[in-house]
Amino acid sequence: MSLKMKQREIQIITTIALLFFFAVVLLSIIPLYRYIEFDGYPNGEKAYYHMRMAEYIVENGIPKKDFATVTPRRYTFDPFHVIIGMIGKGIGLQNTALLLPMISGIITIFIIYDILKSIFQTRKQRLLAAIFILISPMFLASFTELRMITWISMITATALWCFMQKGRAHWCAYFLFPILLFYSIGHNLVALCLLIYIGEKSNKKKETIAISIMIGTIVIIKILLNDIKINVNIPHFSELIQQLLADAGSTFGFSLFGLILAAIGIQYLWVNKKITMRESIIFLFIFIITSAINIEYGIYLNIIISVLAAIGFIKLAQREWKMKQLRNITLFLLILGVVYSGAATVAKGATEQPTPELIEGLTWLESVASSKSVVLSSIHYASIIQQQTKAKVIIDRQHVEPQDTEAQLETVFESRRMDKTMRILKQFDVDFIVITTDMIKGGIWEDDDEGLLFLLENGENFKKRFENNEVIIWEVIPIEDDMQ
Amino acid sequence: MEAKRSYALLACIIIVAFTLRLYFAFYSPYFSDDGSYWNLRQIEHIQNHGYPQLYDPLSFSGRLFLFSPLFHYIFAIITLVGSTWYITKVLPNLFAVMLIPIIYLYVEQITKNKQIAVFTACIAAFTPIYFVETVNAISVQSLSIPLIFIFLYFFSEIQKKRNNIICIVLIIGLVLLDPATLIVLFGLVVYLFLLTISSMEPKKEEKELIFFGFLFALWFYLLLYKTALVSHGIDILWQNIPQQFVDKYYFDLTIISSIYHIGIIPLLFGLIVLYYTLFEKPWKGMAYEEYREHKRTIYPIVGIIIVTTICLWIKIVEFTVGIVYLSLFLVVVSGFGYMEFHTYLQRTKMKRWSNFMFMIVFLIFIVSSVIPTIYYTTQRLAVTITAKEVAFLRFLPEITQDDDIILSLVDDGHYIEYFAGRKTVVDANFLQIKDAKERVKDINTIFTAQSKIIATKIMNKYNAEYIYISPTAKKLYGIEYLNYEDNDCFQLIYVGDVRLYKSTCH
Repeated sequence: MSLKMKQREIQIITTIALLFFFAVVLLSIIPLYRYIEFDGYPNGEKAYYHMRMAEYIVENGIPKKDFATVTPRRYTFDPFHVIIGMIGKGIGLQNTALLLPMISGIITIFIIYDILKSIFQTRKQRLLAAIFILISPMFLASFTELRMITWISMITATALWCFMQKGRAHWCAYFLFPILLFYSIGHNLVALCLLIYIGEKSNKKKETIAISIMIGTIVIIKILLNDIKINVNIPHFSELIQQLLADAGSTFGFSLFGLILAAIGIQYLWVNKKITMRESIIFLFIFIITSAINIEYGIYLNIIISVLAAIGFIKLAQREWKMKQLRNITLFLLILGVVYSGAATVAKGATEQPTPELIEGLTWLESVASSKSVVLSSIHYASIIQQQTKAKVIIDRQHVEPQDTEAQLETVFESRRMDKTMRILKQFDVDFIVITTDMIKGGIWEDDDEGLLFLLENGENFKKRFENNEVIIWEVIPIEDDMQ
Repeated sequence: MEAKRSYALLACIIIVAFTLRLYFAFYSPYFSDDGSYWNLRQIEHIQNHGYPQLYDPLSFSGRLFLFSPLFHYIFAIITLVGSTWYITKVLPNLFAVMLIPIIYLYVEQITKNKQIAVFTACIAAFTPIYFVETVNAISVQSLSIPLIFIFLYFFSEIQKKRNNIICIVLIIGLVLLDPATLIVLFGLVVYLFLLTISSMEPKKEEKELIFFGFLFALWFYLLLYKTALVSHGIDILWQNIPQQFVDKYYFDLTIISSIYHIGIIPLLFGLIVLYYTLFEKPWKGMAYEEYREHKRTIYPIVGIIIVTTICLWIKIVEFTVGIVYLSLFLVVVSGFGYMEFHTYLQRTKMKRWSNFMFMIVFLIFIVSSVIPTIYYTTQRLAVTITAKEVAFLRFLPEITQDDDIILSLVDDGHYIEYFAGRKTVVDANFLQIKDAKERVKDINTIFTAQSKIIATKIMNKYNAEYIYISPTAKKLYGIEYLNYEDNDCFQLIYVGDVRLYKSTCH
């Protein structure tokens, strides 16, 4: 083997090793922290929903209905639950919930790294772009918490990668793209756009048309069968900013400095006519879907933005600076800004609910409640309560209840009238009420004697059964007079 | 005009302005606004402990502050050499008069005309709003505004190596000193835009510095205000000031208010220059290249004026801060305006009347700027906290316990914290206070309610022991005593210029 070949090989191995190192370090922070500080309980309430469904499927098969809420609702099959359940059977559900996002993240970043070959010429630039994606808040949020998007983005990336390959790997794309049909139409449409873009770039027009027709037909059938309504909800400007920017508090937003760099990248591509109308339309389409329909679609835009940010960064570093002393400070500031957004996302994710205190309370509740018991709490804790106590809640994030259920719950939280509150609690057969400090400090109430809190402290219908620093659990004791 | 003569005139203006400022500053032993006392507490805290007071146990009965303490450090270091009181009275005025030679140099650099530079410096010395806001207050603007003009002076010749280092240092200093610097940064972005639409290429150094300044400001303010941004969202622009108070700080910019805050001469000449720079072609006798160069020199100021006006118009900048920026930048462009007016006169039959015209303009300036400056300053001094109020507040610790909470008007909060060292329910610093709106509403209820039950409930809600009624509160609510006063739940324990009630029902 010639010296040049050997050097090239070493460079490839070094780049891959560096990317692997960065990916493992960044994506393992939260699982490690949760193992050390939170007794290995996964972060984020969504994880608990997936854990519960996975557990149910492994034990009882695919259910037709989900009975974890007062009014059972139809369960839509999600292959992700089967995967979690199968892995969970081997290593335990909690471990799966902590490790699966990390492993999916590592796989996804390597797939994206390979796809980036078509955009960046040098390995260093590709590595930089992959690292920009890796430290972006949205990628970190997706691959450090067990979410549906963790799985969907990995499948989309793998399907697109397979599509670009030749031989057997290419045919895998035909099995992977249909998996997306289990998920919302937005994901399918974005995948379709990306497929068309990549198909044209890699000169696979026939294959693109075949898969596009396949996805398109099933999407149309899905729309016709399910009577799907797309809720376009354009938020108020200030809400939009908070929703889109991780630096403004969004749990699933973009990095402000990443956006600045992306703007520089776009400007460079635009000036040098390296961006076409088709690319601009795809970009705009994903942007509209992200901001108006569901921020979770932002994961696709995030990859585009991170790639543009990498281009912007490279161009800034390569350009000739008149004030040489400013060049390094500016680049350093940009890196700090991008890293800061990622670090803030990791810090936020690591300390997310449930805390050990909440788990302690729910473990106690599990010991006294039955599967028929109904627990009232904030919607933020619904999935955690369902999974940890096996009891029912009134509504959770997946609920499709009529809006008056929400209104009734709001009345329960805000009213200081015992008769009204008891009537609604009776209507839902509420047995226990779980109150956390987050709910008292701004989550639902501002003061500790507001609405339901006042009634809990002063009413005879409630008995405090459990209390620690984080959670108070009240039992509802129906009194005959109230029931009448 | 000869250099010596112009320097002599400039020295005269500085001496007159400084003397007048000191006269007004020492007219009252106290500062004219409550915010100065918050600054003073921070300065004294740095003197005593070496670091600012980030957690204040007195403000809102205990809260965390988010601010950049550079200004307080500068004062704390300088006040080490002498009396804090003297230095805090003199130093802001010294900083503020620094603006006069800076504006002279800046205008002289861009107009190459010493007479115009002296005239503009003279207008700047007596800009009513800047004078009033900085004469008897520890205000960050007394330092940040002169620094902004120093920055612009060096920015206009940024291609010189020495200048670009000074510009970097100044932009970092300004960002650390005053968040209102963002107006300048946005203004410079507009400057780049104006150059682009005028088919002029910005200097590379300018682009690099503006980009760096922007990034640095973004990064620094994001670090500093992240928690406030997360909890208040876009409301952070209004510093979380409750709606009831927004109108006090953010009000409409009208022609009349502009005239008396800025002065008619800078406003008129400034607007004429803006119009010609933005919309007119080169006027007669002016070469195209000269016209482009003229535009290039004036565009940074035009950019800042545009941004300030928009901010004032959509009310995202505090009125006094915005109008101070607007007035001083209009003063600078008015120098150009007067120069063009003078040049125009030279080309007309009024040429021999040009000195007379200058006298008229100067007279209008005296009437519309100098006299209002003195008038408004006297008015501001009249509402300064009185010796009797201060005497009472200093006596307050003797009749109250260390942990007692005093309920007062928002404007009296900082006075109670500084002079009495007692906890308050509210003061004028609302950032990061979640229930700011509710507190302001409750304060209003306390002073207007008829029912002692409601008042007691509010007092107990904040664990407040006393109600302090200052002369300002009496005037604002038109009350001498509380409506629900009795010896049962609210005991009147002090009567004088101020009132103090003790809440006894818990």
